[in-house]
Amino acid sequence: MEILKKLIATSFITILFLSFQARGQENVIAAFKDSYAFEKDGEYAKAIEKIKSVYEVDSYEANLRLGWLNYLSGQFYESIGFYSKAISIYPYAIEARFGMAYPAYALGKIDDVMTQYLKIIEIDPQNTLANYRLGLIYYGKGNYEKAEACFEKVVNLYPFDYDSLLMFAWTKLKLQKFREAKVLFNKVLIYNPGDASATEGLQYVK
Amino acid sequence: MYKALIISIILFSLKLQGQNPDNVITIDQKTYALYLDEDWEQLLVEGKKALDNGFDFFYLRVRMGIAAFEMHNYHLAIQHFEKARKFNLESELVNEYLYYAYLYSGQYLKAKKMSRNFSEFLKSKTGNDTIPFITEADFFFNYHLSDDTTTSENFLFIPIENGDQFTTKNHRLILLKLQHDVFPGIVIQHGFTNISHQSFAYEKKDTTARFNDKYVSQINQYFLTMSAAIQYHWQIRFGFHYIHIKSPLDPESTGMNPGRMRPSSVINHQFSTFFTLQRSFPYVHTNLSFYYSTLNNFRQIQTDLLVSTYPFGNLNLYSNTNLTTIFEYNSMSQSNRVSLYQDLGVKLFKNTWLEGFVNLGEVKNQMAAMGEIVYNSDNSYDFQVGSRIFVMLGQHMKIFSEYKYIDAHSVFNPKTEQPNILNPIYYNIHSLTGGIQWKF
Repeated sequence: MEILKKLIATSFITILFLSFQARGQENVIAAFKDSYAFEKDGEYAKAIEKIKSVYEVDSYEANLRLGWLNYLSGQFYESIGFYSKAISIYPYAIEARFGMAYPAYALGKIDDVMTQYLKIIEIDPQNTLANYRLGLIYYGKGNYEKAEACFEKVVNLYPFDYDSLLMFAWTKLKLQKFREAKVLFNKVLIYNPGDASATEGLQYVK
Repeated sequence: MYKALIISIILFSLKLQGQNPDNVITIDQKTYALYLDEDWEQLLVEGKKALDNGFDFFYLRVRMGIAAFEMHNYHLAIQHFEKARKFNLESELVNEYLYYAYLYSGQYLKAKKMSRNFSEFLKSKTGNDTIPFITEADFFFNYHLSDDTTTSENFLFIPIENGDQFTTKNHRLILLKLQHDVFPGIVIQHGFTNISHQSFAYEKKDTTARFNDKYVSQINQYFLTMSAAIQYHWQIRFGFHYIHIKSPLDPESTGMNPGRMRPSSVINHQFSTFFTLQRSFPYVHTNLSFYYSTLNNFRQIQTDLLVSTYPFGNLNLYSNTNLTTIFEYNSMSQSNRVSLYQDLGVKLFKNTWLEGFVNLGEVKNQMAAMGEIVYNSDNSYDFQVGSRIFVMLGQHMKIFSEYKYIDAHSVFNPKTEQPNILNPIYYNIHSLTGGIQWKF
């Protein structure tokens, strides 16, 4: 009898706990839903408040969402703070690192952006987006050797991708690898006949 | 100025769902497109809208700064580049643009102070890797010609027993000034002036009157100033001016009748020391100067407030308004004077500027141009009007000429205190100045 009473009590507590959990999850879902609606209407402050109303410091999703919303509304340091928290919860999540690059870029902190992309490539060496963007940064800084390595990875995986082919061609040109640059510019013209950038690049090769 | 590759967030852009209200991404897309099209005016309009809506980020400020720079509004460019620097102090692109914006808006000291922290590459690119011993040299020549027709008959009815009166006949001035950049953002300027000043001189001593229609004083002056850019938009300047006057000494008396003065000489030393505080605002610079001087046997405490305005944010149009107040005293008397200087400058052609100026109020025993100029003739300038023209000849040389018309007067200076002004003699002066400036 005693055992039965304990069993009933434990079951009751468990059911109560699970129902609270379920209600908590329902609140989170509702908050995110409202937050998406506010974001669509450009009401970022309200969107942020919705998430904060269900915020838990160890919630990856809430930190990620707040990182994004704060970035959109121009609160870059707050955005970085939330993305950092998301990264600390899931250190191998490249999603949060991609997110962190946005506010860092808006603040002009290119080195911090590069740090995130390098970390992404360390986790996922073949990540084409990270390689492409890192290649753009190296190209902008005039470090054409490193840019070449990044674009080459992307082109090897996507040999007929316009953006990476074009940047690979320009990088080859900067490195004075004219034959390779010519081949690549012509591939771009196959993709997009009459492409202005590829046409201009070919003029420098001649 | 080169246009560096500015990679936009647009290259990183995500597809946003539905309508795109204003956010960092849409603003970046808009302003980047305007930047690529070189639509500087519209870029500034869109950028200002974004700022008014609370959006502010590095590349927005950089693009707005470049837009303002390309439109030659250097004061506006400075505002945006300074904000961009707050986001990212190390951007060489921003530092270079800001450096030139300071230079082109006449803020030399700020530009040089900034260059202290440039990378070696940027120092070399902007010519700041070496500092010549002399950074600037100026040479000026000035000639005053007066229409004064004073003779001894002007002094027949002076009832006072002791005193003198001098009326300017002509005046020749030569000035050589050098500038040294002792440290980026700190400059020393010093100059030597030689003046030959001819007057009609009248002296009465114990009822004996003497005159000299070719009374020539030789004046040698030296000034030394130091200017420094200090915190943020503040600059200070201080220095001194020493005046050495050698004048003919009155001869022995020849009795009751006026007689010729026998040349001999007396040396007179005069000093001025000064301090200026300058604060720069967008489109406006202000200077507050304090002087203490010992000119012509008086002490002067002088304050100048100079306000310079640049309506277009550049040197195409500018004005300077300077209000001077002087309290002058010695053991016998004291007085207060106020004068107002106003000029307006306009860029006529690519390398040519024209200024018109007027000075109202009595100018006498007064310092000007932040300590570089001394009005220490004992005659008063009641009204001055004139114009100047500057021409840049290449990167290094500037030539300058000025004509000024002056209404002046002299009075009898009694040796004992008198309540009234005695024997005022009014005349006019035509002043011509020419000069060359060389930047090394």
